[in-house]
Amino acid sequence: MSLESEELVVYNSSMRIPYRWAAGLIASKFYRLIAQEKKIYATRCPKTQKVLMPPRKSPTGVEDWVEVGPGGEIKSFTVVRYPVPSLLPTTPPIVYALIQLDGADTSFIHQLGETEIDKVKTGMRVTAVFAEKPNGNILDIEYFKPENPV
Amino acid sequence: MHRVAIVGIAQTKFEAQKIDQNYAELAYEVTQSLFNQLGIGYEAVENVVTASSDFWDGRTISSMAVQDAVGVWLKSETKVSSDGSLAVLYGMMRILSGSFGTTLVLAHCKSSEGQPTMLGNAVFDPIYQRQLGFDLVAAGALQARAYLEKYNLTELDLAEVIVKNLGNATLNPNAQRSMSITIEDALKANLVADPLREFDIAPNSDGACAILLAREDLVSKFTDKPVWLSGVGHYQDNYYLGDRDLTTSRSLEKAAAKAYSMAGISNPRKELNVVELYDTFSYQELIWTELLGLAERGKGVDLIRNGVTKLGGELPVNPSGGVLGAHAMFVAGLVRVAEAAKQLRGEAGAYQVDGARKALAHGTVGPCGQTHCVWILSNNK
Repeated sequence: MSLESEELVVYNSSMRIPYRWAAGLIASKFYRLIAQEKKIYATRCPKTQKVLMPPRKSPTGVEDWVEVGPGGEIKSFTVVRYPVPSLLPTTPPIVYALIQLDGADTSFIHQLGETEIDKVKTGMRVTAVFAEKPNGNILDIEYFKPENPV
Repeated sequence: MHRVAIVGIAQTKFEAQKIDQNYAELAYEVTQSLFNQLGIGYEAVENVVTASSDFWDGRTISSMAVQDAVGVWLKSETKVSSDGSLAVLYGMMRILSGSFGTTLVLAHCKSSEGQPTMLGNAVFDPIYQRQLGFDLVAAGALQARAYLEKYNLTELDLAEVIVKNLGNATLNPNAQRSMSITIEDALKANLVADPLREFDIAPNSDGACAILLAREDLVSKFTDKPVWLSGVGHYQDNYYLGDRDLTTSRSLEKAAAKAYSMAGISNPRKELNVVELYDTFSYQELIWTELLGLAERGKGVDLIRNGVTKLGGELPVNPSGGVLGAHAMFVAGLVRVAEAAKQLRGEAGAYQVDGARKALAHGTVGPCGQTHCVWILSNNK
């Protein structure tokens, strides 16, 4: 018996599995400092003296926390034109950037807001906009906006 | 130390959606194809290494679904939840350990069954990155811009890669994208994530690939055209994109140096006859060829403009069309090894590189080329 293509069975389903990911001591402190002080802290590596953002655990057992930002520089960026289903309430276009905060030696990824996508450039100065109600995740920094209004 | 050779190769056609096959049937198709070519049965396979992903298959322990199809009852099967080029390394190591004489290496993926944007998002850690909605295409776009701006390159340079590779893919009956496109077509395609447009990005494919590895004393039982594993290098770089300089890849430079040294290659541009690269994005062919020592930094596009890497050129790169022609996750690196081996066996048909004797096959995994595996294959032991 041969089957027509519309007779081929496709089982449409999805997996919704709850997880409880422990952020760990370092990330917990990072988010606590954002909630309490509206300030971003990174950690300095005792060996290389580099300030790492996001912060990392120290091999000495004692972290050297260093305030970084809230201003920084765009190292690269992209404008995503497609929707990201079930992940974000934001509708495209979404601007993502690698941002090196003042005082940090590494960059990290975040979104830009309050900007015109045609005006975004590598090297542009941006500053953090903190969420009104922090939840202990990366969106406690709601987004970064240009330091000088566009 | 023993030497190990590839003694058999099989792959499916790669398509956007193979609605008439489940993933175990894809594995079965390539296993049976390999066995029929070699005139062997399951008893010739002493152990199996598979490559696939639980997340992409939507089940726990994805290799369980293909174990019956590849015939590993009462045998050892183990899995690499990463690119198939690394499954080749694991398969070779299992032979060199002295425990096995032959290893079947098999990779499968049905990209059509999951949701690639969400699966790509899950590559990023849930504590600092995932809630941003960022995915692998957006990560590639950040790397593309960093590279283009550093070396004053433009989208026109990326279009050169697309036209060459998709042109080659029209000669490959297994490729998914089979289309002759012009520079203008490439530049007019829809922007997906600036500066990347539709054809700068590999398609999502369904398919499978298998190769059989054998220890040197067993090779002649299977083939008179063995392809020897002459050199390999495998290195990782930092996980966080912001910890790396995205315009380069220290892990690829190290992997290449290791593979070249093991294979006794001092001038890859002169000594290699064909190269198959894992370029998920057009710009990656340029960066990867530079870091493999085939061009100066920022000058990778000159290899295409000067015809060096075209089919019929001095050193063809991606004569099969590469990953821009078909991209089944975790399979694509094994396909690079298989395509390079086909070239050395003189079995590449319309995209055969005449007289190829030494080939490079490259696999990568992780955002913006975090991990690289470089293989040197040779006709001569």
